[in-house]
Amino acid sequence: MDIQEYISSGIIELYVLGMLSEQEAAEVHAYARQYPEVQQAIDSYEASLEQYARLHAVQPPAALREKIWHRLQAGSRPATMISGRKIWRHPVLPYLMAACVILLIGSVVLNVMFYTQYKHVQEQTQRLQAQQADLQQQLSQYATAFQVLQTPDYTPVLLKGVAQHPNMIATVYWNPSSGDVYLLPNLLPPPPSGKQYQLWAIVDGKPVSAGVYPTATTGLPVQKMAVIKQPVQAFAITLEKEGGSPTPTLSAMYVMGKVNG
Amino acid sequence: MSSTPYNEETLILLLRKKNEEAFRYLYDHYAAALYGVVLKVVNEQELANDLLQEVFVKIWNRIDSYDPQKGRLFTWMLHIARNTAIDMLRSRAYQQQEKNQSLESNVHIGNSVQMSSAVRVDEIGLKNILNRLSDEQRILIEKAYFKGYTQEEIARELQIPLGTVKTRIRHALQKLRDILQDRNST
Repeated sequence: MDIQEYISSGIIELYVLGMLSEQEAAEVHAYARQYPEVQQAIDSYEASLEQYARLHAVQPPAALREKIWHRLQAGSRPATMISGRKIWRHPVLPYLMAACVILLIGSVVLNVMFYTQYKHVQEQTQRLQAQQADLQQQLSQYATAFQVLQTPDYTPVLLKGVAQHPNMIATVYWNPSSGDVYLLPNLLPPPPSGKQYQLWAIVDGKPVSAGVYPTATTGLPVQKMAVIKQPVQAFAITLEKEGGSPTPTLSAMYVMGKVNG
Repeated sequence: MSSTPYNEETLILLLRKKNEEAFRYLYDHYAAALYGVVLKVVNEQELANDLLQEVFVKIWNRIDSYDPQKGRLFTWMLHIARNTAIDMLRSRAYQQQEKNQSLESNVHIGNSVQMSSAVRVDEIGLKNILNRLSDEQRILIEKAYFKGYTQEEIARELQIPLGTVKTRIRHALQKLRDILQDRNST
């Protein structure tokens, strides 16, 4: 390789100015170690450039030297503003401020989120508490009903489906001495709208109304019906218009059961 | 000027020991040149004052990392000065103000026209050299040397193909070398 040609190719100048790629610079560096002429060319160009820079030299304000010395003495003391101009000497502060703003926004967002969640949970808790109270009440009603109906005074009467409705079942609990009547529709489909089930007691071969079974049952399926003190031979249920009928519609009879004894 | 003359090696050694005399020597010999470099980049005296302090603090704190194998002390300090000033220009606060300053205003920085109150140490010497460079060569050296542009950045800013920029920069730098050598030999 012609080293003079290499030197005059212009690569030395670019090397000194730091304008070469890392790879190219490494190559120049290697040549400089191998060929003193290359190193010399680098040194001399660097010196020329220093000279050139010095031509642009401007004497700084006289007070600056002592100011700088004081700053150097102060060592790593945090930077202060030296002239009136506002300069972030350490770029930490703007970042810190940005971080604070981001944290604040994040905190607000989280607060809103948590508050919404808290509200949601609160509502849910209230709903569950109400539900729990309902269940408690129902349970005590069941207990009472169970206690009452299990006494020997009550005669259970099983009402079975008639020929058209073989699968339907209901139970009447009747106390002959007090005349109290309870109805439990074990297997009765919910009545179509505008209709209600009506319980009939057959007394001396004639139907006597024991009342309608409430449509919207709150609480127990076992409902107290009208008091029947006369001797009853049988009970039957028909589907009647809302509010009940004075006489049963026989074609709409669903279940029937005879009283034993 | 300090009375004691130092060679570069001794100066560096004393700077590493945080010697006050060494600082004063360093300042007296290099501050004006570095101030000139900073002014070339920011072109504003008040800001340059702050930056020069910054530059000396950095030199003072980083002198241990200076490797004489890789180049002259001045080259190392010039890079610190240049980068400190460029970083300032790039800092967000300053960008706002700078936005409106276009390439046009940069073109004339090579002349001393803009240096209203600051006075160059060697005004005549500089003029003699600049007169021997073409406007374009002046701009190319300006950007490459004082402002630390890469060849790609120069090509982009001047909207000249990269290959052309490379050739022209090489010629400009060689021309400068020749002028400086010429000057030394006379």
